Parts: sequence; C-alpha cells; structure tokens
Amino acid sequence: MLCFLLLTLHWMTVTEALQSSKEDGKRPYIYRCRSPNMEIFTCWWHPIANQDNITYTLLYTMGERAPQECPDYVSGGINSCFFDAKHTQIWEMYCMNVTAHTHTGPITSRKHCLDVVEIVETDPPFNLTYIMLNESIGEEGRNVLVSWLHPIESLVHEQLMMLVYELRYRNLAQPDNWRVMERLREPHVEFLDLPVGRYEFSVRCRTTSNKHWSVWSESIIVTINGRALSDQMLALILVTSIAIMIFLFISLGNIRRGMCRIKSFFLPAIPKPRIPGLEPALLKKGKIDEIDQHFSSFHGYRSPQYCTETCSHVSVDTRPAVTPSIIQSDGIQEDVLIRTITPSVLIGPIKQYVTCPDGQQSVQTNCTPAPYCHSPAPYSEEDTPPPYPGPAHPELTSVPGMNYSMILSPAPTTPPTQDFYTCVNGVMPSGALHLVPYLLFNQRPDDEAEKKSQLATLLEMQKEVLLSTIESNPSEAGMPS
Amino acid sequence: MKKTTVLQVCMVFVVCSLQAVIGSPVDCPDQDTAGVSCIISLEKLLERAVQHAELIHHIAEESKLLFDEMLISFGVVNLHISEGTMCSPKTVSVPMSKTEIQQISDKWLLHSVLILVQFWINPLVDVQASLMNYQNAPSALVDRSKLMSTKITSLEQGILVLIRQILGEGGLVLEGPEDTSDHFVSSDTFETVRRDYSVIYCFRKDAHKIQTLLKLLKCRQIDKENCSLF
Repeated sequence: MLCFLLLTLHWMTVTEALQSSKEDGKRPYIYRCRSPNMEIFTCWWHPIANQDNITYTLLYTMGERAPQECPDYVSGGINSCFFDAKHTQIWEMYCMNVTAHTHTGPITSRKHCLDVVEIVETDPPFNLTYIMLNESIGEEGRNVLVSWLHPIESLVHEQLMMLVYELRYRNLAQPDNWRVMERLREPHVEFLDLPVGRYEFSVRCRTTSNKHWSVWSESIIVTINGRALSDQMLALILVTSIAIMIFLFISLGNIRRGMCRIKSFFLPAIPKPRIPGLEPALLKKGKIDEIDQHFSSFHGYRSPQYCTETCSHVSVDTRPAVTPSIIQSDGIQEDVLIRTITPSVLIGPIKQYVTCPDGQQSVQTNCTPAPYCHSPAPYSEEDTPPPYPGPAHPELTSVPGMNYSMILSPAPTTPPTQDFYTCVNGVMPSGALHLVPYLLFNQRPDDEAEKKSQLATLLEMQKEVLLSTIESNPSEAGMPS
Repeated sequence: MKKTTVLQVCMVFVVCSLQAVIGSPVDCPDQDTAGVSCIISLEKLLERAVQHAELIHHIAEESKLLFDEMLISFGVVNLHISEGTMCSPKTVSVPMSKTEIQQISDKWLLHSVLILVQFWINPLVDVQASLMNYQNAPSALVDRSKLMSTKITSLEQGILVLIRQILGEGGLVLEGPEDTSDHFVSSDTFETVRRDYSVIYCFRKDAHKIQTLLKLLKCRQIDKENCSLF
C-alpha cells in the first residue's frame, strides 16, 4: 500500500513537470489572471517561444453560454486580455483559452478557468503614516500609532470586500529580523512601548474570500529617539533617592541634638547639687558601705551608727558627783529607792557609753541625731507640770520593780529633740520633790515611745501608792507597801 | 496493524493535499468533450448574493440621509412622501408570521426577490442620471447612486443564476415592468426632486426586503435549520 502511494505521487509530479515544460515552448500558456476589486480583471499568457508575428486570440465562456472573444487586448499590456466592468461578473465561472495563429496552424493552449472573486489581488494599502503617542517620563520607549488607507479607491464598500491586513516591521539594526502582525482587521495598529531605534514598517492586504496577498506597500521609517532612562539610570536614581532619605533622617536627628545644644547655650541648665568627686549614681544605687567608704575621705564625716534598744542599757560614769540623799525612814529597806533629787552642780558632760550593734563601745559626747539614740535629756525642776528645759541637773531615777537605775545628766549641747523632762508632781512631806518623768520624744520609734510611756505610767502608779500610804500612815513615810 | 493503517491514511492525505497544491486552480473538464461546465458552488453564490443585498441596503440608507441634507441645503423643508403612493408594488409582500414563513417555498422566495430587483433597476438608473443634472448635488450622493444601480444590476444576474441552479429553470428572464415605469421628464425641478427623493425613499424599504428574503433563502439552503425572519 505504501509503495503504491509513493509511486502515484512520483508519477503525478513527473507528469506535472513534463506538462509545465511543454507549456514553455510549444503552446501558449495562460499563466496569470488578477482582479483588483472584483469589477475588472486581466489575464496574461506566455507566447510560443522564438516565434514572432503570431496573433493570438483569447476565447472565453461564461457558464454555458457561447464563447466570446476578449474585449480588450491592449489595456493590460502585451499578451494580455483586459475585462472591464461590463464584461465582469462574479456569478459564473470564466473558462478561456488562447489560440496562436502560426504558419503551421492554430495552436490552442490549455483551458484556464477562474472565479473572479478568487483571483482578487488588491492593490497594496497606501498612505502609510505614523503618529507618536504618549511621551511619558520614565518609560524607555514610545507608543506609535501606524495607520494606512484602504487600497480600493473606488467606492466599493468594505462590506463587499472585507480586507485583512498584515503588517511587518523590523529594527534597522537587525535587518533580517522581520516581525509580522497578522490578521489585522482595522487599517491601523498601535505599538506600545517600542524601544529606541529606527524601524521600517510596511503593510499588505487581501480579501477574506481568497488567499492572494497584495504586494507589500511602500515602507516608512520611524525613528524613536532615546530620551529614555535606561535601567542603569533608573537604578542610580533609586539608590540616590534612598541615600538622600537616609541622610535626611540622620540630619533630622542631629538637628534635634543641635537644638538642644543651642538651647543649653542660651539657657544654661541650673546645676543640680553635686558633691564634687562623687557620682550621683552611686548615691542612687550604691550600697551603704561603698558610700561610707567614699564619704569617709571627707572631712568631718562620721558614718551613721545604727543603734538598737541597747541604748537603753546605759552605764554612767561616776565622775559626776551626785550624792543623792536617801530618804530613809525607819531604816526600812526599800526595794525601790526613790532618790530625791537635789540640785547639784553640773560637773560636766556625761559620758555615755553606748553599745552599738557592732559590739563596739564607743564613747561619744555628742550623739548625732540618729533616730535610735537619745542622749541624756535635761530635766526640769519645776513645780508646774509643763516642763521646760531648765538648767541641766543630773538626775538619778530608778524604777520600782526594775533593777536598774539611771542617772541622766543632760549634756549642754543636747539636741532639743532628745529632751527628757520630768515633771514635779508634788512635794513630799520631807520636802523632797516628787518628780514624774515627762518624756518628750521626737523621731523615736513607736515601740521606744511606748516603752517610755509604760515606764512613766508605772512610776506614776508607784508614786500614788506611796502617797496613799503616807497619808494613811504618816509615821511610815516613804515606806511603800 | 493499526500503526500501518494510520500511516497509510496520513499518506493519502499528504498526496491529496500535494495534488491540490500542484494542480491547476480549477480543473474543469474540456467543453468539447463533456457538456459540463464549471460552476461556482451554491454556497458561494448565496453568500455573495447576501453580501450584495446588505451592501445595497446600506448604501440606500446613506443615500437617503445625504438626500435629506441636500434638501435642507436647498431650503426645501417639508417634502413629505405619502405612504403607499409611489413605493413598491403590493404584489410582493413579506411574510411575517412563522406559519407563513414555513409555507412559502424557495421558488416563491427567488421569484419575489427577482421581481423586486427587476422593479428597481430602471428607477435607480433614472435617479442616477437625474442627480448628475443637479447643480449642487454632493458627490458622495452621486457616487452612491451609481454604485446602487451597478450593484442591483449585478444582483439581478446573480438571482438568475441562482434560479437556474436551485430551480433548474433555464432562461427565465422576466421582462421588467418597463411599461409601467415612469420615465417622465418633468420640467418642474421640484417635481423632479420629489420623484428622485421618493425613489430613494421607497427603494430603501425594498432593499431591506430583498436582504431579508435572501438571508432566509441562504439559511434554508445552507444551514437547513429552523430559519425565521427574526
């Protein structure tokens, strides 16, 4: 089967070749017929070679009608037949042949049949023009609108002859690279963003009903100038703008600082209190030991000593010669002695031994106004209860029921906040003063104050008891029950 | 086996296409030997006929508008054409209902179109000649009237060929109603203008009729589907 097909194909090609070769020499041969607009058409034939003075006649038939001779042998050129509008119609086929009247006899060519609509080969479009559009900044190419005119000059409506266009263009820098836009229905086309360069455009057309294209129209050259920003330029612009923005941010920050400096220059800030050589941060966050270390280098600094209730246990030096006269009556041993207070001369400042938390017993004459220490307070020897810090007199008081006695001698430079007052409550029959402690504390802890008040109340109670016994039994004066 | 069959079929296609390419454009048998002459296919003929009818209708519409503009420029405002006086003969009426359309035959269609076309050939030729005599007629109007008369003549030839092919009736050439046509030449310019205007006005309607009937015929012959006028 395959072999048979191949043989058939070969035979056909050979026959055709032979026929065409025959036509060249011995018989006239109608080789081309073309119509520009379906209203007229022309046919051309090849004459017999190497023979002159031969007349040719062309006979044609339309359908089944009688043959007619060619109406015009001239208008189409030599060896041609021109059919005008009266002789052209599109409803029937034309079949024609050419007869050469030679010396030997007439030689007739092969019959050639045609349909006028299918041999339409329009004139090429004309008046090709272009318009540059859309000059925009930042784009590399330009938009170009290329337009042309319908080739049919006579008023044959586009409806009758639907035309299809084909446009080709090339960049003249690459002359072999034609690019084609096919199947265009409108006589214009817009190119978007055509790159920089020189371009050549040309157009051709054909009717939709047949396949013969017209010849290419006259070309036009379009030059697109590069005002364009290339990619590199664009990148450069981008980088520059980013750098400018960064610079602006930094400079704004610097301006703020600069403004602060100017402000401080014109309106200097009031300096905060500072100890030269000492960092304020240390005071804020430093430990007390470190601060002590720093401060100890300063003149006259004494680190604060934090004292507890051991201050209460005071042992007093015996130097101040205070000789209380003991009221004794009937030699009754008293558990608690209430010593009278006699005005005596202040010998001197009482040295007060203070036991401090660190175990060190230091002697100090002046207690700094630490909250946990109190110095001997002055006492008053007044009759009236409101005590007033009068002249300093040493005082020895003891608390009944408590096995200690205190001699409190006021220091001349006692800070007023450390006063220890006594009030004269009454006068004993023997002439001794009955003193009641009146404690005036400032900046004492509450428990200390509470203790003192308790002491005071206790003393008060004892004295009342004593008074009552004295009143009840005057012979037993001073004898507590 | 399948593969070889496919290959053979492909080869057949190739050979046939080659033959089509190599062979002459139209292989019509010799007129001497066989009485069969080459004919254009019915499909192509109908398509061309419809195209002609559409073109004629379109040009008729444009011509009427141009004529109106021309009359306004002449200062003629109220040139009223009374309906039914000078328009097409009433013998040809277009079927409207679906049943009517189904009843009419292709023969009726073809003959109706032929009557219409033949009716208008002469009036259009006269109008074209008349417009050439106008003093200030626009060239667009003159060209269009020329085109109309040319195309309607061509369409008549086409309809005759169609009748021959579809109906098999040879040589049916209805003599146009030349006797009834009005070839009067009026010395009155106004009457001439009025007549020309009425020809264009009425022909526009009939051109639409011709187009419609031919489309219906084409639908019946080619598409063979449910064809209707709407």
